[in-house]
Order: sequence, then C-alpha cells, then structure tokens
Amino acid sequence: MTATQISPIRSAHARELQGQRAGIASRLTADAIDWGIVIAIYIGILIAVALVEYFVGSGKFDVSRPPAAVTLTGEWVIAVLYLTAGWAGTGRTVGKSIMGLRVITNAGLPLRPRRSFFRALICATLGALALGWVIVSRRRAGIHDIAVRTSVVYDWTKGA
Amino acid sequence: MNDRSPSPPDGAPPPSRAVVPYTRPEPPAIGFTGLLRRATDLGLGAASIAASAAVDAIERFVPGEPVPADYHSAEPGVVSLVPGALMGAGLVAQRRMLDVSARVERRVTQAAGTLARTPFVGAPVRATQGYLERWSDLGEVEQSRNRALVTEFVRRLAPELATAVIAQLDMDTLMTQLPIDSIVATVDIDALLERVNVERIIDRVDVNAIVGRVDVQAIMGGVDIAPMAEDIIATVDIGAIVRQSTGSITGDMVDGGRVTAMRIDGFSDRVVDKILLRKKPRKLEVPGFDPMAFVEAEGE
Repeated sequence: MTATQISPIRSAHARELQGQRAGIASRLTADAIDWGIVIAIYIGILIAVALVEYFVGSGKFDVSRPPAAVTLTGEWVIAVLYLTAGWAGTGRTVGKSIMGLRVITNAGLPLRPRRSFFRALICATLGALALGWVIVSRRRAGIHDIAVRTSVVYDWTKGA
Repeated sequence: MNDRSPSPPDGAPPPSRAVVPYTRPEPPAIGFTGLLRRATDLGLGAASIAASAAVDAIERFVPGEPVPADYHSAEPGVVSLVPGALMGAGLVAQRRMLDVSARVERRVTQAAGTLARTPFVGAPVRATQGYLERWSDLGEVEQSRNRALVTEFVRRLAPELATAVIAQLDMDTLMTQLPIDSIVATVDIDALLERVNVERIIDRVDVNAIVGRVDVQAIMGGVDIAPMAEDIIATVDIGAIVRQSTGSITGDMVDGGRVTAMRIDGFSDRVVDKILLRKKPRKLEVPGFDPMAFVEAEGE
C-alpha cells in the first residue's frame, strides 16, 4: 500500500487529529446519519411489502402503518443487523464513513462479529443515552465502548 | 595533385594534367635584376591570364557555332594547350634573361665599387651615387603616395565596375550553366541549420500582425465543425470529468463538515473539562492503531 492511495487531507487540524478518539459531535452526527438510514430501510421494507401486496394480492397499493411497538421493534432489529454488519466488516457504517470515523478495539484492532453484535445491541437499545457518556469520559468512550472495550477514532484513510 | 583528390562532379571539366613543380622561394628583389624579375613575373602572369581567357573565349564562343551541351565534360582542345606552352617558354626565357642581368649587374657593381675607391674618379662616382640615392628616396615617397591614390581610386571604381559588369551579364544563362545540384549536394544542411538562430528569427517575426491579417471568419466558414465536434465528444469522457468535478466538490463539502465536527468535539471537551475542574488532558491516543493495516485489509 502506498501513500498515494490515501486521500490527501488538506486541513492541518484534521491531519493532526488522525488516529485519535473522536468526540461527541462527530459521533452524534455519524449516528444520526445511521439512524436515518435505518429508518429509510424500514420504510423501504414497508413499501416493498405494499408492492408485493399490490402485484400479488388485493391489487390496491397501500403502505401499511404498523403500531409504534412494531415500528420500534422493526427498527431495532434493522439497527442491530445494520450496525453489526458495518462494524464487523470495515469498522464503519455509512454514517461513520461519511464523518471519517472507524470503530476499533482498545488495542487498535478491527472488531470481530461477536463484539460488533454486542456493541450493536447496546447501541440500538440505549441509543443516545449510551453516546452521552462520551462528553464526560476521559477517553471519549460511550457506555457501549466501555462495555465491549472499543474506541471510535478519526480515520480519513481510503474508504472514509 | 595526388590520387586521393576527389573526383569532379558530373558536368565539370576534367582536372588538368599539368604539374606545378616545387620552387624554392626567391629572395627579396634587390637591385636591377630584382626589379626586372618582378616586372617579368607580372608580365608573364598577366599574359598567362589573358591568353587563357582568350583561348577559353575562342573555344566557347566562336561565332556561328553553338556551344556544345557537354562542353564541360569534353577533352581540352589543342588550342587550350597554347597558353601553357607559351607560359613555359616565357619562364625559360625569363630565367635566362635574369641570369644574364644578374651577371651584368654584378660586374657593373664591382666596377662601380672599384671606381668609387680610386683617388680621382671616386669622388664624382660617390657624388653621383648620393645624387641617385636622393632621387630614389624622393621617388619612393612619391610612389607611396601614388599607390595610395590608386588604391582609393580602385576602391571607388570597383563597385561601379562590378555593377556595370553584372548589368551586362545574362543571369538566366549563367544560372543554367551552374551545376546547382552538385553544389547543393556538397552543402551540409544539418551543419547549416545548427548555425541558424531560430529563436532570434522568431523574435523578429510580428506574430500579431500575421494573425491580424488572417480572415478567421473565412477559415471557420470552411471548416465542417459538426464531425469534428462528434469526434471530440467521442474521445473525451465527459461523464468522467463531471463525476470527477462533482466528486471533488462533494469531497470538499464532506471534509468541511468533518473538520467542523472535530472543532466542536474539542470545544465541548474543553467546556466539560472546565466544568469538571479537570487539569489533565484526555487520553485520546489508541496505542497499537495502524490505519494502514485497515486499508490493506480492505484492499484484499
């Protein structure tokens, strides 16, 4: 791997902070993007179901409006799967990729699927509450980071 | 003349078979014999040139006879040998005459010296000698002045004479007789071009004036732009250019957002640390983290 494959970082401030743990604003923005993607996936599933019903069943196109509990449960499941897939693969979800962040272990290594899954479970369950601890943590760690011993760092290398 | 001499180009006259013998340089002319040798050398030289020119003119331009096309390649005629023969005879005559003159001059000099040393005749002889020397000096001074005058006269006359001669020449005929191809073949064009200062020539060209004289509208009217534009569009990947520029703009926007978020991260940390009365900096480094390892893993 050569240096030319790394996207050049023009901001000196950003270059200086590469590899350091990310703060609340960056992580909150990335999680907001991911949350929006989870909602988009959920809505996409509802539309797909409506299309199937339209072509196969009643012939009437009607997007269902499930109860709040079903919606929350569905979004929770989607979030867990989505976050697990992202962190176990490249250490990035779409939101983290846009914000130039990467999830790693405290030893600086990539996450295994099991650790990614537990981290996703905590994140999807506690949401912003888990992330709030980043503000006061000396290591900018959320509750889920403390639980599964992970860190989120600035990493603008290729793929970010 | 040696065997390695270059062969004459096509159409040129063959080289002469005459041999010029090596002669020891003559000592500077002194006395009457030297003067006589100079005069005869000049006369013989002028006669040789005149005879050669006359014979050449006779052979080339005899009235009523057309000039042969292969004149230059023809063998020299018998008439052309006459100047050389006359010159040879003249040289022999000159040498014998100079020998006689030298002997006479020596005798006269010896006699004059003997007379000059005698008691009674010596004085008038020496007086005569001194009288002649003064006249000789005067003559030399006058000769120098006259030589300068003649030189100036020739300098002024030469251009006029050359102009008059050129006006009488039939340049077209001369040009047809010149072996232009042979001359050009001997010219080293590469060496000639290396000596040409192209930059200096370009500096002297008024490009704006040339461009100003070009009728661009007429040229554009004669150009069929449609096929040219189709070729250009076919060879240029406009989609790639648009994607590249769009990606660059998007990348700049994303980078700006990331840097803003980074600054807010730092600002919120400082606020919280101040509220919590923290003095120690946060531990933001992750030991063992190597971004390149992740990049290589993603590339596989």
